[in-house]
Amino acid sequence: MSAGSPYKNHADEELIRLYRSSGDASIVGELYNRYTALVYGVCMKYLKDREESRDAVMQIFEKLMDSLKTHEVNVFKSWLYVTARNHCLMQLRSKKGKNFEELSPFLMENGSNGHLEHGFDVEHNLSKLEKCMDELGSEQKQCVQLFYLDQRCYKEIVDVTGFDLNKVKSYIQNGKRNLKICMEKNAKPE
Amino acid sequence: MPSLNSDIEKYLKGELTPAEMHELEKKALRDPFLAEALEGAEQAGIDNFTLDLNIIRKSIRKKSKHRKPKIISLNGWQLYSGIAAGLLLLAVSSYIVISLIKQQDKSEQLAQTESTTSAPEPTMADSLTAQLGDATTESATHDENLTLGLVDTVILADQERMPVQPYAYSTSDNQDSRLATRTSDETVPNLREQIAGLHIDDVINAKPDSIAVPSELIEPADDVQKTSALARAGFTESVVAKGKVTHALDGSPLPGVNVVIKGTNVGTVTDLEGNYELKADPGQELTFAFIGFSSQDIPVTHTDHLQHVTLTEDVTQLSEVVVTGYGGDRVEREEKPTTFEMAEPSGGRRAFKKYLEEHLHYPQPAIQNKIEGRVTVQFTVEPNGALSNFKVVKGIGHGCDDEVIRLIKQGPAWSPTRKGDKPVTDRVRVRLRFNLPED
Repeated sequence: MSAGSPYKNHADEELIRLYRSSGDASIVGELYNRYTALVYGVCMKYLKDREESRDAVMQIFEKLMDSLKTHEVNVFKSWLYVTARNHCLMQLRSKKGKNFEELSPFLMENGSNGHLEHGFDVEHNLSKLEKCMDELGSEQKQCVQLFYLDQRCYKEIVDVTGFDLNKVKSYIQNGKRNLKICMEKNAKPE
Repeated sequence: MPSLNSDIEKYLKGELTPAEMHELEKKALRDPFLAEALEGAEQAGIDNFTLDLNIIRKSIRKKSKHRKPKIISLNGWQLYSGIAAGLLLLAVSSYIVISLIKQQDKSEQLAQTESTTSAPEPTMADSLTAQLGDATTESATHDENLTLGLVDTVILADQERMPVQPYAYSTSDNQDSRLATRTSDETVPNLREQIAGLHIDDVINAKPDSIAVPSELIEPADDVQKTSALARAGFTESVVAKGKVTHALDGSPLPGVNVVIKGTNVGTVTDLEGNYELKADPGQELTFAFIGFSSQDIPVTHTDHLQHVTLTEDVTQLSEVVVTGYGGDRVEREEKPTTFEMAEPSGGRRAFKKYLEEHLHYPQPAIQNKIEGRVTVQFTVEPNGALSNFKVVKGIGHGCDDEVIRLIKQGPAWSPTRKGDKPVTDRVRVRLRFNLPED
């Protein structure tokens, strides 16, 4: 979109408010444009077809134009994610009749986004962290160290360790989860 | 709000530095939206991705231009006729509402007096007993507290109608039979009419312990109540469906369970303690759904009592849901199931083994090439007992593997694995040894 868009610095929720009061579709278009890559990506992941995904992105846009006027939306990004996902799942379900579960839009709204790393009291937990790191499996430990402590990207980690890319991602995610469990366990006696 | 669009494109094109790549990857670990989008983008391929995004951008521009904001100022006569139509609609609907309320008032009065049975009005009782014969008078005083309350409700609700032939409930056995014979002939026909107009079923259902109502009298009344209730389905009041949703295995509360009125998009979500509350109509169904668990449909009942629901984990659904790395504070999936029944061929494993041995056709090519050995075939037993996904885990070829598969497919039906009482998908392996016949 044009670089000189008047809405460039408005927050998502502000744009929604403006849209609701004015009904001006170009506002919601501007908002949606911020997320088209994400929505398209998600649709591709589920629908696996470019044309279908393009159509889905536009269908979700239509849904958006109506829903935003009538529904209360707290965090637009999460709401959009759930809507996009559900749209794809519904489409898949009508095609194949598989047993997919829909995420409730009510569920997602309450900010379960990115709260994994809040409230980490750094000093207090560093020694615990060391201990927990030692308890990880060697591959997990290595990947977690490379990713978080050395700030390497996946490509680099693959080059250094020789592990498969998916394995690397899996080691990091599982390592992270195990660390979290370990940290929470040790935090209990407080 | 930073746009991730360009970052994603650059990432895919390899235009980012390793440090920038790391940043995006870290973000993706925290943000499932981004993570899935990256996966999908990789599927599309970077050039296609960019192309498609441009197409989308153009379409959005088109769409957002066409829709002009709705101008609310109407022309003169349109506005006035709109207002007039609105007022008319309002008048008609208020009339309907009011007449509905009048009807409901009676049943509400009934409900009210039900709760005040502990303090019945003595005057009512007196006039009541005066109407009844001597026998009933005795019973009325005999079981005063109990009968008065209930009889009250009958009277109050019927004030506008013909003189009541009241229905005295009695807990004493002796009186029962006398009452029954005395009052049944005269009162029941009249009573039926009246009962049809009242929600006496609420009264009866509400106090099952305290009343031993003569059964032969209740039955005809019941049918009437049922049919009348059905006939008046359109006028049934909404109820507040509420209760608690817990895990079937350990009773722990399940927060975040989706509770939806089936066929609508009205719903709610259980709170941290698993409690839900939702306004619905009796006759509707509530669907309880949660990722990783089997959904349940529970009908909404007439009364406002608590409806607790337990959900059981469904392995099938779990295996088809995409896990996107949310916070680790969801329900842990390492539950220990209480009972486990493994999938079995009908007739039992021994019989199945016999069947395999008896029906085995040693394939010609295997005999010719002197092939023998063990074949292991794996397949899936669906919850409905269907067999699918045949896979040769270890085979010896020359038609032996196919022979085993053929035997399984044409063999006895399989009952699915049961977790608790729930059939689930499971994989089964069958091993069969091929021994060359002695020449």
